[in-house]
Amino acid sequence: MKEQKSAKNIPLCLIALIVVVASRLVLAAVYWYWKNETGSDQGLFSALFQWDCGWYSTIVENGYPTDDSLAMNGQASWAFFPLVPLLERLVCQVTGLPLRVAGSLMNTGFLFLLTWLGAKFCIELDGGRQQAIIFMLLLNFGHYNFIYSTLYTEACFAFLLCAALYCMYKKHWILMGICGALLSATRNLGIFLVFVIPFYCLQQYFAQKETRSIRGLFAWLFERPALILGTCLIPMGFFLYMRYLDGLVGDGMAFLHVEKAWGRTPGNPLEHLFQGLLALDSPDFILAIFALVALYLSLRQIMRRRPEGVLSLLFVLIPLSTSVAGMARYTVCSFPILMETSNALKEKSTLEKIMWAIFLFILGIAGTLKWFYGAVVMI
Amino acid sequence: MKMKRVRSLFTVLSCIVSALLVSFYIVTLIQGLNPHPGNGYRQFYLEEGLYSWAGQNGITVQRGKTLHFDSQTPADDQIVGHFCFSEDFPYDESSEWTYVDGVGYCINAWQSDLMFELEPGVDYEAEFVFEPEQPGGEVTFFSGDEKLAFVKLDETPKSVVFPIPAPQETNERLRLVLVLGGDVETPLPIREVTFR
Repeated sequence: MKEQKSAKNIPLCLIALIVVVASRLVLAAVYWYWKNETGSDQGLFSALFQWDCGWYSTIVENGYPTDDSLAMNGQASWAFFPLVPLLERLVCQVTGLPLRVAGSLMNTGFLFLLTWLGAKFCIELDGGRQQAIIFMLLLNFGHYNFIYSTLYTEACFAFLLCAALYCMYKKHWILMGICGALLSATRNLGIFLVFVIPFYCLQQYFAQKETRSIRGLFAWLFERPALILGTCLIPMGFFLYMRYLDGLVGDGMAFLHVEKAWGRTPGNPLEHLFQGLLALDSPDFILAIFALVALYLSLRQIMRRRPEGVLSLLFVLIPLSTSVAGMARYTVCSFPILMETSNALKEKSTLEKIMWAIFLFILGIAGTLKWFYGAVVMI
Repeated sequence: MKMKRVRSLFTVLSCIVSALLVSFYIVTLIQGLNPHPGNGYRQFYLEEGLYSWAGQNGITVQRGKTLHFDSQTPADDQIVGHFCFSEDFPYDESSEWTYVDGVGYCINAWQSDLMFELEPGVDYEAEFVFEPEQPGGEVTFFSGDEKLAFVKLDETPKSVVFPIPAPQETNERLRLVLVLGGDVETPLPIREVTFR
């Protein structure tokens, strides 16, 4: 009892720091194993620099291209939203470190903030301390944990989403709007945070008022001008980027239209899921399984009447509407899905928890190794 | 009392700022839904008419300039940037066009499409030079439903010259469809094309 009490007295921030440092040491150990195995002379930061890191690097170094300097395949960096490359450039300039190092360290910093705030979220607003511990371990040692130390946007995006949702529940709505605006400047999916707000409002209104009407709902809403302003701030980053693209190439939706150059065109997400599940002998099958599990978790979250469940569902269906490619990363690194996974794991027996922990830890290490090897399934 | 005034002032300000933000979003969205990019961009990304990005003026025809079929890199004097996207023929080595080492791009299907941008109100004449290994077969040229020319490949090389009606609107594009017939052998090499 005394021991439990003393464990609870350790500041959450310190626990988060210990978990992040430990997980990055494991990442370094996996790198060391891979380096010895392959005889590669790449440093850790170069080994982490794979796939889309090249795109982020070109944005940091040269900004966005105009349409008179494109490759024959038409692929361009417009698909990548600007906040993370801007921050990476800023960190490079301030520290004088090379981009690969500065970007990795910056995103690891976001990983620490996410671990800490996500755990706080679990304790104060969801399943409690046990869920918080599972969340921290899942985030730092689970599948795709390495991605939070690359130049990718996952760490920043998940942190900003966590911060925006935390502020929403804590009624710091202007702060929620600012986090949301930064979120929508990080990835196009960020703008969908707006859809969480109506569900949150309905939930709050129904919880507070005994007599319910549409008029009453609007009156309730207009009594909270900060919530209206905060909500209106969320799409700011998205629309500013649209404005910028309009000036650059004359097409504010260039981030969407350029997907054509990767062979991605919007379609029915369920059809893509079904096709992936039928492709038993290809990596698409594994990616479709990830999407299926994420759909289950999204529905579970909605059934628990969590407004962020809407976001979980959209974060699965929108990328799935183009193809199953990248679904593992999109789902595993989605903050609301991580929350729901940790909540679901919390309900398991001790033995099941241990089994899941071992499985996810092995998956995390295997994924990291695959990333170092440059496996296509990890894109 | 003072607190109440501050609160109502904040409410009014919030509503004004929110309305301004929403107006900005609506204007930006309308602008986004009505893009105004260059022709090359429009053809490649929006209309999805072309396979490869040939540059902003990649498919504009320069009168008298000969286009060759021997390079896989789009350039002012190469045909590769003019290949059309066709849903019937997914773009791979066995589709409408195929690149043969030492020869260049050849027609590889019974129908293949090329896109050009011509100056409006001006009549053109196109000259295609086919270079089949063996004589035989025939090629018909269409633009939309209109038949523009027919040529029997009874010798090699074989050249065909035919008129192209003047486009009436600015930025009107010519989608030229080449249909093979008879006992023509594929892949069918083409040496060059010139618009006069």
